[in-house]
Amino acid sequence: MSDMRKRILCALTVLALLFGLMPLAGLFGQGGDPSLALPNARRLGLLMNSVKLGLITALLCMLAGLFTALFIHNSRFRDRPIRFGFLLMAFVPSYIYALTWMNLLREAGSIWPGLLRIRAAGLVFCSLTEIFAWLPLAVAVALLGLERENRQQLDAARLCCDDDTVFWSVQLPGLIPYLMSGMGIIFILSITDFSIPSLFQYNVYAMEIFSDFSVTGRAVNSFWLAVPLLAAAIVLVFLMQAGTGRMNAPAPRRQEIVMDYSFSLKLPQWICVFIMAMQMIFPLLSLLLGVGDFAESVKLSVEEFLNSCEFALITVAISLPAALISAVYVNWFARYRKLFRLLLIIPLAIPGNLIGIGLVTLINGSFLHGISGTSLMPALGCAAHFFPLCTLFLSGSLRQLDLGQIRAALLFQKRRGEALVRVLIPMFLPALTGCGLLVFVLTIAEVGTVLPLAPPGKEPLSVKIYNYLHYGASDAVSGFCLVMILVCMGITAVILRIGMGRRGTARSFGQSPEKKQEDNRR
Amino acid sequence: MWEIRNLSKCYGQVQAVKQVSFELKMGETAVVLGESGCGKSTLLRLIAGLQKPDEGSVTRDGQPLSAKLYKRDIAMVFQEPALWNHMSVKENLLFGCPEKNKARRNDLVREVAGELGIGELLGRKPDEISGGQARRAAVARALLSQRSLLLLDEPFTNLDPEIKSRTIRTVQKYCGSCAILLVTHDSSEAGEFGARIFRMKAGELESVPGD
Repeated sequence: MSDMRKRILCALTVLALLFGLMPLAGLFGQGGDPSLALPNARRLGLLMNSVKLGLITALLCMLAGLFTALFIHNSRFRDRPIRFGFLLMAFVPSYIYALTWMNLLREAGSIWPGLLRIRAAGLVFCSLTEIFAWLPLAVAVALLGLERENRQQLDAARLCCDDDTVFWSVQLPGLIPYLMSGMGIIFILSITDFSIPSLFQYNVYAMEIFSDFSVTGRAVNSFWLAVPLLAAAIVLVFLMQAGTGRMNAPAPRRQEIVMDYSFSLKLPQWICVFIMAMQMIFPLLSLLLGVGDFAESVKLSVEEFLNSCEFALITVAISLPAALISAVYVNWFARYRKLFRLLLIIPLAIPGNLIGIGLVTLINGSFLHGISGTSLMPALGCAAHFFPLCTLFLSGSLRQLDLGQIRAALLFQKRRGEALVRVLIPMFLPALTGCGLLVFVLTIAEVGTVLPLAPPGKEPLSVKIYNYLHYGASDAVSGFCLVMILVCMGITAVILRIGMGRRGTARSFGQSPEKKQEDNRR
Repeated sequence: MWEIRNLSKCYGQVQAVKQVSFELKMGETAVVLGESGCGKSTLLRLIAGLQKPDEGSVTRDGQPLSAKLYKRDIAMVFQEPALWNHMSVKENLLFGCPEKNKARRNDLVREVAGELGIGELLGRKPDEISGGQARRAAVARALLSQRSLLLLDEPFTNLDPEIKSRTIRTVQKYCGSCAILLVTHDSSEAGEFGARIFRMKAGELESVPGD
């Protein structure tokens, strides 16, 4: 690639980077009272609550994820697409799990009235709900680590000692970068989310930012208030960065012989698989029990669902090209790769509601105020929010591409652009499609970012459910949630189908060329 | 004595190993020559127990081997060094060493590493040493595990001739009393070992005439 093109790519990446940080600029440009960044005693308590919730959730969730993944990896389904079945509920919004617990208590209370006295509030309920909501993510990260472990390293250890010792001394240390990254992501998701804590009346710092803005209407306060939360989250992003840096991509080997762990290692696996099964069955069961007239619920949610789809489509159209440009530049051309990667994923630590508030302030105070009140606003907010995730996803997929195949295509192409059209795009299309669907479904489920940005009269389904949830569980909410679950499950199934497709697509989702060759040989 | 009887392994329609039988006495070295993809590595993995054969058995002095890999008394050097990156080279070498006495363990590891020319690298991590050094470390790890059968899966590939000879001499020195089975596509390695030679073709094993 010529120097000029590289410079253009670099400039576009910097623009994408600025786009991710744009909501913060909207808040920061206003001056304000920096002393708010130093939390007083009350806010310090809230920050502690956030960190406590985040740490408990991340630790327990990742532990459950690890043991569930171990079970799947050693089961007879380990080489079959069905092993990813747990992902079907991966994108079900977290607040739906909150409703699940409320419904469950209500239904169980009709059988055992004593249960009705339990107040569904506080740290335990919050943490349980978040663990349920993010368990598929944790399992996916741990399973990714297990599937990418070097089989020969493992075999070498298995010839020397029993499988329990192999787990503790070889397997687990190799998985630590993955587990750390997974914990980091879950911690950030937890401390930047206020939807579940607010439903379970557990006061956290992210809620304080939003409620301060609701009371004072001063966006700049939100920025200064968010500084401690951002600092905590950015420290975690640093740790994640260090973790992913150590993730190598060894050649995965098909596992013929399963690990023979002792009972002490099998028991937690069975328990965690049971939790995973509950994670899938509980929401569906409780919503099916709670739903009144499903057809009526569908009818009542059509308009909001179409609004959600409109926002989601625009979000995909904005975030996908920005993420692709950034991923290509950072992976293949950037001189300061680590710095770029870090700057690109920092926006991951910005709470969704802060993005919404920042964007409102920035757009309203600029020449772009004309787009305020249009569908572009929530889409811009969601694009800024999910752009780092999108970049991470595409970067990972780019790293799986066989550069030798691309170089060969460049060498043998008969005319300019043929390699791009006939080789590179078909190779990368599944990852792009998967990423687009991922952003689509995340936008449909998003509340925090969309809440301050949704145009009047254009309420998305997620906000409608969230508003209804505050009035307690009802038949209508169960119906709406069921609609949302079915949509999310449908799109997840499509993503999985693409990820497991035959024409080289598996590679884009994490399999290496070596595994493909081995599969072909067999 | 190690007895391999009628070992067979299929991958779908492909017969990777076909009715392979031979015996290996303690102190004896055998070399399996063959082109890439003829089933040599699969044969070693079947003997080590890393893959289940479709039929056939591996016995030692007439006794079947344990299903638990670490109780089969077999060491193996893989095509890749397969060192554990989170451990130092020394920790890697000592992982399978049965010696309990710490001072003796340290002496042993220094001695074997010194013989193989990697004595200075014991404190480093595997990703801080070269490919050739990592291969020798993998050989040292297998030697230090002091097993009765040593399986070598093309361990000398890409080593320069002098280092290759030195490594072969070290293997012969420390595994004089155990059985060694080497698979390779390089017939000169077989010559250096002075071993019994088999040739493998499309999964079938045949003795080289005159051997």
